[in-house]
Amino acid sequence: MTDAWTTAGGTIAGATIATAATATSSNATPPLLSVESLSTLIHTPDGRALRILRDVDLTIEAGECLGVVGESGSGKSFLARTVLGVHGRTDRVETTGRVRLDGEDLLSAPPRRRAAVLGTGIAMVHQDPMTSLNPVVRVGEQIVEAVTNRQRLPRGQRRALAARLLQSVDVPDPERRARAWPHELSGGLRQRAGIAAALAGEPRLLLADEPTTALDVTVQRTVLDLLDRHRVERGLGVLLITHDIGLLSGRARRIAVMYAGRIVETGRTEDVTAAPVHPYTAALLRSVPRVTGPLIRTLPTIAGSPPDPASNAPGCPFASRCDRAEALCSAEAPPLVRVSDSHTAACHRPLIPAEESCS
Amino acid sequence: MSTADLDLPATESGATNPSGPPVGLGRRNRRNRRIPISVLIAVGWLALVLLAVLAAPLLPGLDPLRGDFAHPAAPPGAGHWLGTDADGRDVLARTIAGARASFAVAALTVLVGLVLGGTLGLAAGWFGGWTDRIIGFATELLMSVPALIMVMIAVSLRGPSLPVIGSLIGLFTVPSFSRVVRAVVLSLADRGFVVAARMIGTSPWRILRREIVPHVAAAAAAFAFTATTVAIVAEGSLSFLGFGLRPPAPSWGGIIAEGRTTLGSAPWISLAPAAALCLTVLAANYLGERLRSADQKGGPAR
Amino acid sequence: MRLRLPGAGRAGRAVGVLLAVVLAAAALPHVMPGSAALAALGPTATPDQIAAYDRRIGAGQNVLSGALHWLGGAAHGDFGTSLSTGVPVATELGERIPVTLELFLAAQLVALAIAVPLALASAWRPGGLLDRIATAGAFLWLAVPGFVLGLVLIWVAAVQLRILPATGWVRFGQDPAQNLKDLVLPALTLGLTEAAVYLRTLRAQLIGTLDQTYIAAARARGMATRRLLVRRALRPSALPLVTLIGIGLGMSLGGSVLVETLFAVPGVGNLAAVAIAGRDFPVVQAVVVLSAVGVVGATVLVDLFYRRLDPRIAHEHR
Ligand SMILES: Nc1ncnc2c1ncn2[C@@H]1O[C@H](COP(=O)(O)OP(=O)(O)O)[C@@H](O)[C@H]1O
Ligand SMILES: [Mg+2]
Repeated sequence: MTDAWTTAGGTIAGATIATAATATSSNATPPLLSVESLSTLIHTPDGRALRILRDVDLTIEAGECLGVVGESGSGKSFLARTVLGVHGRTDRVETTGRVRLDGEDLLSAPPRRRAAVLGTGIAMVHQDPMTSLNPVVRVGEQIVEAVTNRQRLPRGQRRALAARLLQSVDVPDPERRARAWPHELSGGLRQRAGIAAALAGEPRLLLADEPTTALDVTVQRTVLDLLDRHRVERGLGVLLITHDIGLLSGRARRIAVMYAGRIVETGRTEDVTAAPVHPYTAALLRSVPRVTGPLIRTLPTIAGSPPDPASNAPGCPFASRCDRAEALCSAEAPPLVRVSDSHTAACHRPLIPAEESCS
Repeated sequence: MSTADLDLPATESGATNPSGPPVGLGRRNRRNRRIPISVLIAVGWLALVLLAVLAAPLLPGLDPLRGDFAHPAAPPGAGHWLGTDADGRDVLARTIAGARASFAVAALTVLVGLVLGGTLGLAAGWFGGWTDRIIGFATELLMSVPALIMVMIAVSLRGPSLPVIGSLIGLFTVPSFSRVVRAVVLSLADRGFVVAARMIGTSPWRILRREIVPHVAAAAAAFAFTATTVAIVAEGSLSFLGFGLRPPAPSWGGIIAEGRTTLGSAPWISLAPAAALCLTVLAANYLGERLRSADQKGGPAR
Repeated sequence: MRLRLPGAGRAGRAVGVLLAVVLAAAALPHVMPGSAALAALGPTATPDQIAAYDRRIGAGQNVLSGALHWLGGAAHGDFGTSLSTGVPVATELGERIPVTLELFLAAQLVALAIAVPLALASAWRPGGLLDRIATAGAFLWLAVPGFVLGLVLIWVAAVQLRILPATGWVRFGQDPAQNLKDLVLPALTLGLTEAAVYLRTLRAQLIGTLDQTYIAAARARGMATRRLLVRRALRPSALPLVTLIGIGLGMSLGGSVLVETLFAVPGVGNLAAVAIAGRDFPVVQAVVVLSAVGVVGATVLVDLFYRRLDPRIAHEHR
């Protein structure tokens, strides 16, 4: 069963890529999501200013999956929250740049408009299904929130809708599960419920923040396949966040590699994974656990740690951990340059020489 | 229910989180460097009240019993700063005398609570098992009976004396003291330095004295402030009900109750000692809270 | 964590506590045989009078048989007869418990109406202006004991403004409007005192809840702030508050002696104060036991309510 989905997903995914490509080239309609030089400054209670995101650019077409990959702490979750416009309730976040959904800039939109997009325009799937469901509210009630937040539904209709949504994410016995409490479901079922809740408002864009990290490996795949299927069926744009670059092969059309709040390399998944340009990407690829026959070997993670978001040191943020670094690297931040048509990287000492600077 | 029934605030003992070796005062002071002004004010107020209590007998103008028959129920003014009561007695002098009674009750309460509750808490936490269960049962029992009513019964049988009132209110603070101390002991029992001391064969007494008691003392001291306010309020309630210390040495509660009948014509007779009582409770509460949070912050090694 | 006697569950422990209280109550007249009689009858009482008095209150029997005797009666709803009024204690309590409960409920309404909205608003922006004012206000408020607050309320509302009666009580059945007027000041006194405690408890819990991922997730689905706070954050934060209310309910059965006396509300607490002053031991015994039953019963109720509030608890105990 699982295998069948994978195959189906893969094939149809191929078809969608073609559509997406056409959409880009025609340039008649704006992309589904376009993030332009997005930067954020957090003002902490103790008076520091943290630059979490720096000049992030990315686009997602309808029906496309963009993989965002990076070590933990590189700002992936923060990126998703900023795109959504929902931060921790006590965080003081200053955001600059553009977040356009179907061409409409959400950052400059009035709060009511931004609120209207939540759940219906953009929806989010959270990393940990154990903590992202309210323990004292029945699963079904939570799943239908994106709808019931905007219109009153009688209980019968809420139940029916919840069951339908659960069924669409392959939860067996959906009527019963809709009435269950979150703690009565397994991790995999909870994450499916989380996806159902995200899909309830029929969003155009899905932000999936490490949706499978908390799940075991076999469940991981079925959940990712499920996301794929809905992406294809609904033309859903998906921002798939992960720290595991290996997970993106065959799922994401393009990859954006994130480090210290910046996009340091973007390109088609197969290009980036086959021939990484940024030494950080290469290091990420080396640290992926690889399955060789029955043996799983975990290769060492990258030595050192990302810079403190409070620091304003010049230069490439990866310089101190990079074995190719030279004097220039710690003096001047490398601009994002084009390596090939669809491949860009920000590195003074790329693993493949750049073609030209991209503005 | 409410402060009327001598209920102790839910002790946040579970949150007490000491760890590492005891933090000396010196180190804590160095970290905080400056003592906040609010703490100075609270300490200042308590010191002022204490000083007044101690000095009042030496000052001729502050006789709580001498009536100024020319000025009965006089409003606050030059001659009598806080006015006089219906018998022309000076309200300031009476407020100070009331403080003496209230503080005496509080002191006895804290002593009983600290000694009994501290010992029981130490024993329950240290020995565990049956000791813990029996002490726990006694604690629960004590918390199930209506404290204020029990003290009233005792007063009605034994008379309203300082030892009866103080020690009984103290008895009802024992469960809270005991729980605070027990929680601290439990949180220490498997801490590295205690385990280490046990392993190198240090005698249990020595561990208790050197490692446990210093930590417990901090938490218990914080709670002592709370118990002080509980005692003052409880004794006030008793006096108000007619079960408190009797004239000629009434407490704050007694003086406040006396002024009730003239509330319309001379409110200061009640309100002046009431204000003194509230300020004292506020100051003690505040210091207790500061101590508690300092204890929690001072604990984890950073 | 509650302590447990081995082999005895919660129910067993509750029964143990109650039995101990019954024993203690039965022991009351024995604390000082004769002293009760002397105190009640005055120093001129003859030995015969004292002996007769002691017989009536059960002093002189041994404590255990006294307790058993009392229990036997209580099982049939017979708690003895008031020494001062000659009315059966059960009748007396039956009249007074509704009054005390009415006062308790009104006080809870006052406390919750103030504490819940303030806690929600404070916790939503901890450290904000409203939160700082509410937190400081609650702390100041905690320093005002019930008898002082009651006195100030009487002074303001009854003496200065003359809008409410200072003391007195008319039963609801007799004159509902007057009953509600009589209720205002005692309910405010109790409720306002509780409000500060409730506010602090609920706020602390809410702040923790609002930092949970599931709250962020609900927000991300477009849930409006007010709805989020009331429908999604309140319930997971309510356990400690429910405990406080439950214990308050249990204690209220023993009467809120002070407030009922101050405002002359004919509830259980008032009865207790009068009975203690008059050494009316059968009444005192009944009130003490009733109060313990209330506290123990409330603990059980709170426990049951926990399971309704948080399905995970029901799950653990299954
Ligand atoms: N609310 C916040 N306040 C301060 N710093 C934050 C906040 N949220 C995230 N950060 C910091 O931003 C960086 C990126 O965090 P995050 O987006 O969670 O990373 P990732 O999801 O890639 O693991 C981290 O250094 C984190 O400490
Ligand atoms: Mg993350």
